[in-house]
Amino acid sequence: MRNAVGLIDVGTLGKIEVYGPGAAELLDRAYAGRYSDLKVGMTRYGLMLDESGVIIDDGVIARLDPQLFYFTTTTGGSATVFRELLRLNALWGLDCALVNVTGHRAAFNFAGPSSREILQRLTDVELQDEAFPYLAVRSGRVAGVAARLMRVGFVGELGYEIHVAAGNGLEVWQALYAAGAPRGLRPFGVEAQRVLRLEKGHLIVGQDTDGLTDPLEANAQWAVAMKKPFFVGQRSLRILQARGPRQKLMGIELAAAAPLPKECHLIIHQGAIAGRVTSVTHSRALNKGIGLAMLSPDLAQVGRDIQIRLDSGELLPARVAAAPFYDPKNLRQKTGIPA
Amino acid sequence: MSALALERCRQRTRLGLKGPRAEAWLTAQGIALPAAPNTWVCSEAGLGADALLVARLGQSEFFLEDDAAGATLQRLAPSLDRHLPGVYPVLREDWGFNLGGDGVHEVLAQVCNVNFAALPADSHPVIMTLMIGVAVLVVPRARAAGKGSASGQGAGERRYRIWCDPTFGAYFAEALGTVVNECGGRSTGVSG
Repeated sequence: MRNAVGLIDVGTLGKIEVYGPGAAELLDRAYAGRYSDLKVGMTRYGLMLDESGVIIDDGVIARLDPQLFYFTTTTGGSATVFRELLRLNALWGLDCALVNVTGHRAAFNFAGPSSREILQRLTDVELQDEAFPYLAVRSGRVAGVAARLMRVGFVGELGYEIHVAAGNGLEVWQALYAAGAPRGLRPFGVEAQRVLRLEKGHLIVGQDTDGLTDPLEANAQWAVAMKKPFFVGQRSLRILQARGPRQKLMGIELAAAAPLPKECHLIIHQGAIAGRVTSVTHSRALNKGIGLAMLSPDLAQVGRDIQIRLDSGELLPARVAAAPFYDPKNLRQKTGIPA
Repeated sequence: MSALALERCRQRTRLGLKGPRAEAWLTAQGIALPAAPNTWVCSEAGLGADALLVARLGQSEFFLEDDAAGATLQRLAPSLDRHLPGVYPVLREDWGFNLGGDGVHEVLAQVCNVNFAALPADSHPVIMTLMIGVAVLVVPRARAAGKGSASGQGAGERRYRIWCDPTFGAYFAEALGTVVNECGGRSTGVSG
C-alpha cells in the first residue's frame, strides 16, 4: 500500500444522509466541528461528543448539496449515532430528516501512490488535484456504477473512498482489483489498516479514547469549533478547558529491537501509574515500535523518556514522540507521490 | 391452497423518496400514490411481476418497487440526480421476499407479534414491524382464486411481500427459511 496501491473494504462504516434546510444546523449542533460553512463538494472530519464533552464517535462529513450531507460514523457506532441524531432532531425540531443507508451502500478505500492513475481508468470523475483536491467529494461512475468518491483516508496515502450501492459492491471491488493487480495491488485488512493509521497517528474512538476522554486530552482540539453558538458537549468542554487535561494522548516510540508492550500496559513514573498504552505496533516502514499512550500531563512532552511495565514486571524504556510518525507533513496524501 | 413457500424476490428495482415536495413531484411524474400513510397501491391488480408498487411510509416518504427492467424508476432517475429542492432520493438496496401458501400465518405467528391473519388485505396496509428481530416492511395481498399461478390458488389466498435492510438480509433469509421448512414449506433461492 505504501509503495503501489491497496484496497480495503470499509463498508462496515456507518453511512447516514441528512437533508433539508436545517441539515447544516443539525450537524453544527450535534458535532463539535462547523459544517454550515462547508462548501458543496468538500468533506470535513466530524467529532461527536456527549453532553459531558466525552468523545463518542467520529467520521467524515461530506456536503453534496447546500441541503444534503452524507457522512460516515464508526462501525460500532452506526446504529447508536443514527438513533441519537433522530432523537436530537426531534428534540430541536429542525427542518431536516435523516436516512440510515449503512446497509444500502458498500464502500472501499483505494489508496496508495498508484491509486489515482489506476482509478482514473475506471471512472469518469476527473481525479487530478485541480479538479478533485484533497478532502473533496465527487459523484460519478466507477466501473460503470454510480459512485460517491471522497478523497480521504485513514492510512495516509493518496487515496479515495468509493461508495456504491450495496448490490454493486462486488463488481466494483472486482473491477478495482483487476485494474490494480498488474500494478501490484494488494487487498488489505483491518490489522494492516491499524498499523498504517498508527504510523499516521490517527486515533480510534473507543481504543485510544475511553469513556472519559475529551478532545483536549485526545489532541483533537483542531476538530472543535468552540466559537459556535452551541454544540453538544460545548458547555462541559468550557469547564474542562478551564480545569486543564488530566491526561494527554501522545505518540511513543521504542528502540528497534525492543519487545512490544501490549495495549493497556501501564506507564510507570516514580513508582506510580502515570498512564497507559492505548495502541502499539511494529512499523516496518519506520523499523521500530510505535504507539499512542495516555500520559499524565507532566510526562506529555515530546522527547521525554518514559517506562512501560510489561507482563513480566520489567520496565521497558520508551520515548514520547511527535505524531504522525510517518510523512508528518501529510504530503503523500495531499499531493500524491509517484510510485 | 398452494404449498407454503418462501422465495427471494431478486428481479425488482427499488427507490425511496422523501421530502416535503416528494408527493407533488411524484404526482407530476404521473405516478399514482396511496392517499394515506402506511398503505400501498399497485399499477396492476394482484401485484404481478411487472407491477409498480408504491408504498407510502409517512406523509412525505415513499417506497417504490419496479419490475426488473425498472422502466419507471429509470425514467425518474435523471431528474433526481439534479438534487431537486424538497425531493430526496433514498437508496434502497433492500432484500425482498415473497412468502405465501398453506400455513403462512403459522410461520408469521412464530416470527412476528403482528396478527397478520386479522389484517384486512383489501385496505392495502403497509406494516412496519420487527420480524425475527429485524426491521421489515410487509405488504399483505390477497390473490383471487385460480389467478396468477400454474398450480392454481385457493380463493383469497394471502401472500406477503417482505423487505428488510440488506445488512440483515442473509440472516433474515436463513432464519425465516428455517421456520418455513419446519412448517412443511420450502425456501428457494433465498441466500446470497
